[in-house]
Parts: sequence; structure tokens; C-alpha cells
Amino acid sequence: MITKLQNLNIRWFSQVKLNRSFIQIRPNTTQSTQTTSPESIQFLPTLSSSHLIPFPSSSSSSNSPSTVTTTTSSSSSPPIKSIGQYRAYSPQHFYNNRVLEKYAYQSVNTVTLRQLIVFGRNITKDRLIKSANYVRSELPIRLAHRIRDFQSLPFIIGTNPHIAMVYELYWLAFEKLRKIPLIKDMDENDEFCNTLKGLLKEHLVVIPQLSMGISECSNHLPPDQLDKFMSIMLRSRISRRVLAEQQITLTENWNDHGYIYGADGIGDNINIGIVSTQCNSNDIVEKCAHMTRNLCRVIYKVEPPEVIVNNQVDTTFAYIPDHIEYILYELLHNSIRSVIENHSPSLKDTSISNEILQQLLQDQNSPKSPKSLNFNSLLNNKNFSSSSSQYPPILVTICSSPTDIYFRISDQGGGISDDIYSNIWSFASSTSSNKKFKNFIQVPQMAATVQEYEQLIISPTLNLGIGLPMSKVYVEYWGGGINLFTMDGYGTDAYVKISRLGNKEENLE
Amino acid sequence: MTLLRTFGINNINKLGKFCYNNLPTFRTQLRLYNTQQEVVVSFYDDKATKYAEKSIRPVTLKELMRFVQPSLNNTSTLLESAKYTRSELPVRLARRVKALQNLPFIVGTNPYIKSIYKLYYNSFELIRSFPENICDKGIDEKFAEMLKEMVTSHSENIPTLAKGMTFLLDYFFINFFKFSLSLFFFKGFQECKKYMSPEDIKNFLDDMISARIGIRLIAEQHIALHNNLNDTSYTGIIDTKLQPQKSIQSCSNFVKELCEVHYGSAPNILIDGQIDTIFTYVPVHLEYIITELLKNSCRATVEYSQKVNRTKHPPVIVTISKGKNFIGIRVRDQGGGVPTKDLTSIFDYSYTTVPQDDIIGGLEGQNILANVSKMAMQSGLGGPIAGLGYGLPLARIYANYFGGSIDLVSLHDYGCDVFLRLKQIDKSLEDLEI
Repeated sequence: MITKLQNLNIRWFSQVKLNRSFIQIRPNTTQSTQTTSPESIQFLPTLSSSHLIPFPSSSSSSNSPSTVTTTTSSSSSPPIKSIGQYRAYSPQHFYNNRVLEKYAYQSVNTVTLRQLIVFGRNITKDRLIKSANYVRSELPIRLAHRIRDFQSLPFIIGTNPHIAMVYELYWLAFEKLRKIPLIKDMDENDEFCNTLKGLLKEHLVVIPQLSMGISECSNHLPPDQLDKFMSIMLRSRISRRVLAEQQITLTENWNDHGYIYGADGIGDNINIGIVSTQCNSNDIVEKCAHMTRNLCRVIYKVEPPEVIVNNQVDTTFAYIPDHIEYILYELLHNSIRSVIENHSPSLKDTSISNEILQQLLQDQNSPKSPKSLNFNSLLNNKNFSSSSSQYPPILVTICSSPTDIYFRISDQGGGISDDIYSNIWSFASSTSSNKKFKNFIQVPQMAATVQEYEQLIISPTLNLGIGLPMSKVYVEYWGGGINLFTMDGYGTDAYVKISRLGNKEENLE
Repeated sequence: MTLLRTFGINNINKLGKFCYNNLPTFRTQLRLYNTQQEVVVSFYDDKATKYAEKSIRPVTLKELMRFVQPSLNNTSTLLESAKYTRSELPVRLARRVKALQNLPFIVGTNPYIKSIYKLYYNSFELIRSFPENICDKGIDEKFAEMLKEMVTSHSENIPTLAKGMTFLLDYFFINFFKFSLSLFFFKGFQECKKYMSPEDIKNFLDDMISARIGIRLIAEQHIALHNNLNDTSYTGIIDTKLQPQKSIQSCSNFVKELCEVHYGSAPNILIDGQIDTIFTYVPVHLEYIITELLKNSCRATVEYSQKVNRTKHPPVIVTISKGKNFIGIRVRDQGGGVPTKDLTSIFDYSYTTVPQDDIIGGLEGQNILANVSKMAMQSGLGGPIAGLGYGLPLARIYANYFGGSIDLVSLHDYGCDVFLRLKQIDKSLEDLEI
């Protein structure tokens, strides 16, 4: 099925290439959708039926909030709408914009990790509803700010089908969220959470679509402006997902009676919603190292370089594990791949399908595999080095100041050449803009979490080119920093600094 | 450091002997400087203004090196080089004179700035008054002699401080003050900082120092034509087969000894990576930068060891890489890093991580000899005028001069990684203008 899907993608992509004009490809795309319906769902954006309803005029919309909520709750069976059907500039929007502006003028109420923790730690029904209403009122404001960003782009960029699609998605989400009435009880909260879940799922297409859109627009705006747009877009996206997921998780935990929550002992609950109060620097590095080594072992069929943790501190901190794991996974993965490819150039072209990968990974993890012994030692041994690898190890140094934690990942993977190095943080890299995000055609949805690689939702062999810029977005969101220095011909050092106190406000601008 | 290599000196104990043997030269130079100070600069003398209006003729490294091709090593190329030098230097020096003249009047009256002004003016006069038509080898010899005098005078003008100084100190002066006319600038501008904005000072110094690198390159290149014609890997002051590993090794021996003299112990300095790298560069620039970086790392390591009661110093690791266009040198230490509040200003002038009082005090007192190593260790290469923190910014100017860079990353309570990137200048000889 996957190969079929890929074929389809390639066919579709070639059509895009052939017909640069957006209007021309529309009939073709719809046609291909009709002929191969079940598979195509996977890569074409899925939208609920409610999206097909044209926007009610602003006067009538406020009177019928209940109908909106009912339509959203039935969004589980989405009919498909091809990219071609999204309109970049709907005439309603221009006059509807007054509604948007009302929200866009309001400023965002940022939170800190600490606030999320304290609030979630002593959760009560009242607090849960209070936070639901915070999320309910905050999300449309944050969306409105970003929709205004879209509107400030040059007109030509707004007509790009990918950008247009995301714009439309944002508008729909904005309309949907702003019409939700005040949440008064737990049932309404549950319903609200379902709406959020639906939106989160729908918006999984945003990263791939935006990335492709941005790289296609590199002729129309200088790369630095495109990058700025993209990084604000993505940081805001993270922020909205954090708020939504936090509310969903808190609600789920509340509804789950077996879950001890808000107990007196603070140490009892390590996870407050999606936040962990006890992220262990060592464990996270080991987990990410384990995962990426595991994958590389399968992909390249060699014993990957060891990851040696030279930890100055074994420290815990409050963070959202998904975020730091994504960053460290990306960095370690880059390092391990470049070490292997640099030291055995013959392994450079690795094409492996997800199915085979899945199979191999299962073999790898089965207890009778000789490598499994190594895994155990990986987890037990601080310097998880046991079997000898032919490659120079990746050195990870962890240290901390009273306010920050630093990770340094040092490899001997041959470094990065000048032309690539100057664009590593760019979404709209100038030299190879069209090449950079071409593989996104194979990734219809992306949440940018490690789980996607772990569960092979996204093939780890795909080079998407978004790992570093996305890591930067993640780390800057909570006020941290990331940097990468390379010694061309020798190796690369990556540095990550994150705040350990959790008292930094979300960085949205 | 050039001397260091030329004479094979890497042991401080040998220095005394070396300096003693060379003592007459230093004395001559000091006298030379003192006589220069007598020159009076007149307001109505507008030669500098006239010259400064002429446009400079940037020379590419390739052209500069062409003068020294062994095959072309004959009188005509020598004279060509002499002519270029003779016509170019007065213009460049005049521009510096103008820059100094345009400083606020109060700044110009500062003794340090004033003496620099005189020095530049004298150098300008010296070359300007030399016959324009250098038509035979004899005149060229004289011209080269004069250039040598100029270069040394620009290196070692520290007459007041030099009084009563001993061999060891002389050693530092010859070696360090080659680079350290800047010292006077820094001292001068430290005293003048209330009269000029930090940006103005920074811009002035940046301009001044990079212009000086250009002037020195041109002058020294011509001088070098008269010297090392038998050394094949050198074309003038550019080494076409520079082995960074060797340079780093000699610098690290020197820094380690300096560190031992001052602190009683020194961290080991290890060199790894692509140690067989060979590239084309100006060795003095590389050595200046490396010494500066190693000094910082050693100092940080030893002081951090004292702070946290570490019995054994972790080594300073220098890694060399050869990329397509750049040579990379990474200096990695475990000296505790730079405090976050200082990170933004480490490449600024007039900043140092060392407290100032005790060093400045040492300068005025009698125990100046005892303080020499300390000063050299704690300040920039120039040593004596410490607490001014120009080591890193100066190293950065040198690195930037041919399109390289220096970046520093600090890991709190752990250490620093400094990344030096130097362009392989033979790959872009055509583009690099001096």
C-alpha cells in the first residue's frame, strides 16, 4: 500500500511540476482523487463537512452557537476536499475581516511552564472549567494574530495553493473556536476537548503544507522574511497545541478515575498534563540515542557510533518531554547519520521502505536478537558503550547553571560544507530551496514529535530538511537557544540551552 | 612569535641569553623612537591631507605573492615591489594620520594617542621623503632598511615603560609589541572613553587596526623579499606550506611555560583532528590568534581548577580540520565557561575577565619583572597594559582580515569551545585585497 501511495504521490507531484499554474492542475487532482479514493485520503488534507458550509455573515453567526458545536462534534467522518478546492482569497474574508481584527487587536496572554504546572497540580473541577475557558478565549486570539500575518504577506504568496490551504484552515479554526460559548460544566468541557482534538488532527497537514508553500515562494520574498514568518507561524502553532493538548490531557486524566491527580504529595505526579516536572537530562539523551541508534542500525545495517554521555550533572528539570526529545533526537540523528555516512560513503544512498523497516525493527527488538543485550546495557550503562563500533563516538556533554541546562553534541561526522551550513536554520533556503522540502510530498501530516519517527509514521530515512529549523522553533518557544558550529572536513558541534526553571514566558514574537 | 620560530626558542630560560645577545638592537630602536618624538607637527603642513585624498590601490594577495616567485626573483620584480610599496604606503599612512586628526581635540591631546599620532606622522614623512624613483638595487636596499626601521618602531614604542626593564621584559616587547601598537590605542581610549561614544571608539579602532594590518603586510612583504629567498615554502611573509599543527605546538609550548611561570601549573594542551593539514596563510596572524585563544583557555582552566579545588587540570584540546574552503581550529577547554552576563561583551574592547587593579599597580612599581608573566598571561599578548581586554577582539580582527571568523560558545560551569575559521587564502587569492 505504501509503495502505491508513493507512486501516487510522485504522479501527483509531477503534475504539479508540469502545470505550474494552480488552476490548471485542479481538474487533474480531483480526477486522481476519485479514482484512487482510499489511499488518497492519506495524503490529501482531510476536512470536516462543516468546512464546506460557507461562512455565515457575521450578524447571523453569533445567534447560533449551538449549531456550530453540534456540527463540529460530528466531524469524525470527513469527506475529502482536494487542495485545489481551497480558495486563497474568498470575497467573504475581506469584509469578514472586521471580526478577525477585533481578535487580532487583543494581546496574547502568555503562560509559563511553571504556571501550567502549578495550575495543573491542584486541579479541581472549577479550575478545569476555568482553564477550558482560558483556552477557548485564547486560541481565537492567537489564531487571529497569525491570520493577520498571512494577510500581510504579498498577495502572490497568498495565492500559492499550499499557503492558501493553511490560510483557509486557520480561518475555519478561528471561526469554529470563536463561536464556542462559555463553558459552564464538565460535559461542555468534554465537548470542547473533542472539538480541540478534531482541530489538532486536521491541522497536522500544516507543517508539510507551509514548508512546501514557503519553499515555493522563495522567489517572491527574501529568505529571511520567509523564515521569520515561518518561525512565528510555527512557534504560535506550538503554543496553541500546548494549550489545547494540556487541556485535553488534564480533562482525560480527570475523567480517568484510576488516575491519582492533585494528590497531596507533590512528588507523586511527575506529569502534569503534557508537562513533566521531572525530565531527567540523562534519561532523555539516552532515550533519544537509543531510538536513533536503533533506527540507524536497521537502516545502515552496521553498528552505529556509540553515544557517550559525559554528564557533568545528572539533573532534572520541568519541561514538555515531547519538545526536548524532538530537539535531541534530531541532533543525535543528524550526528549519527553523518558519522556513518562520512566514514562509510558506500552507505550514503539508503532507500528503505517503511514496511521493510518495520519488519527489521521488529527483528531487532525481539529478545533472541543478539543486539538486544546491547540495548539493555544501553539503558543501564551510563556511558552506554558495550559493543565496539567502528565509528568515532558521539560525545554528549550535559552541564547546568542555576538557570539553564546545556547540552553539547559533538560528532566527527565530517562537518557541513559552507553552502549548506549557511542555510541550516532556514525554511526558505536560497541555494536549494526547491530541493529542500521536496520530500514533504511524502509526508502529508506532521506533528513534529519523536513518536512519528518511533512509530514510523514518518520514515526516518526521509531527509525532510526541517529538523534543525523546527528544533530551533521548539527550543526558542520556551526561551532557550540552539546553535551549531561545524568544522568542515572533521565534525560538528551542536549546542542546546534550555531554561530549567520553567519561568520563561512563551516566546511568540 | 615569528622570532620564536626563527630562533627556535621555546624555553623562557634561554630568553635572557638571547636578549642579551640582541641587546644593542633594542637600544638602537628605543633611541630611534625617542628621537622621533622630537618631531613637531605643524598645522600648516598639509602634506598628509593631500596624500590622504589620493585613492589607495588595493593589492590582491596574488599580486603580492607574485613579487616573490622564485622564478621571477630578479631585480625587476624587486623594484616593482619597491615602487608599489613606495607609492602605496604614504597614502595609507596619510589616511591614518587624517583619521587621528579627525578625533576630538581633547582625545588628540592624550599622551598615548598623541604619541601614536606622531609615530604615524613620522612614518608617513619618512616614506614620503624617500626618493620616489627607486631605480636600482642600492636604493632599494636603503628603502628596505627604512621600512624595517618603520616596522620596528611601530612595534616597540614603549619608551617610558621600557625604562629599567630587563631581558625578560625585552623579550616580551619584541615579540608582543610587534602586534601591539594597539596597546597604546587601548590605553589611550580607555582614558578617553568619556569623550567618545563606545561605538565611535570601536569603529575607529577597528578601522585603525585593520588598516594597520594592511600597511604591515605590504611593508613586511617587501622587507621579506630581502630575507628569506632561500626558504621555498615562504613567499614573503606568507607561508604556502603552513602546518597549523606545528604552529599550535610552538604556541602551546610558549603558553604553557607562561602559564607555569605565573600559576605554577599548566594544563596539558592536546592537538587532534586532521593534524597533517597544510595550508597557505600568514603565520604571524595564525600564531597571534592561537596564542591568544590558548592563553584564555589555560588561564580559565587553571583558575577554575583553583576555584573548584580540582587537583588535576583537564587538558585543553585543540582540533584541526581541513574543509573545502576553510581551515577550522577548535580550542576546547574545561575552564568553567564565561558567565552569561559577560558573554555579549567578550569581543568588545576595554573589557576583560580579569580584575584590573593589581595588574596596573604592578606596572608602576618596582617589581615589574615579577609581574611580567602575570601581565602577559592575563591581558592580551602585549602584557604590560593589562585589564584592557583586547586579546579576543584583536584576534577576531586578525581572523576576519582574510575572511575568517572566531566564535565562542560557553557551557556554564564546564568550559568554552572556541571555533576559529580561517580561509585558505590560496583558494581566493584573486579576491582578497589588502
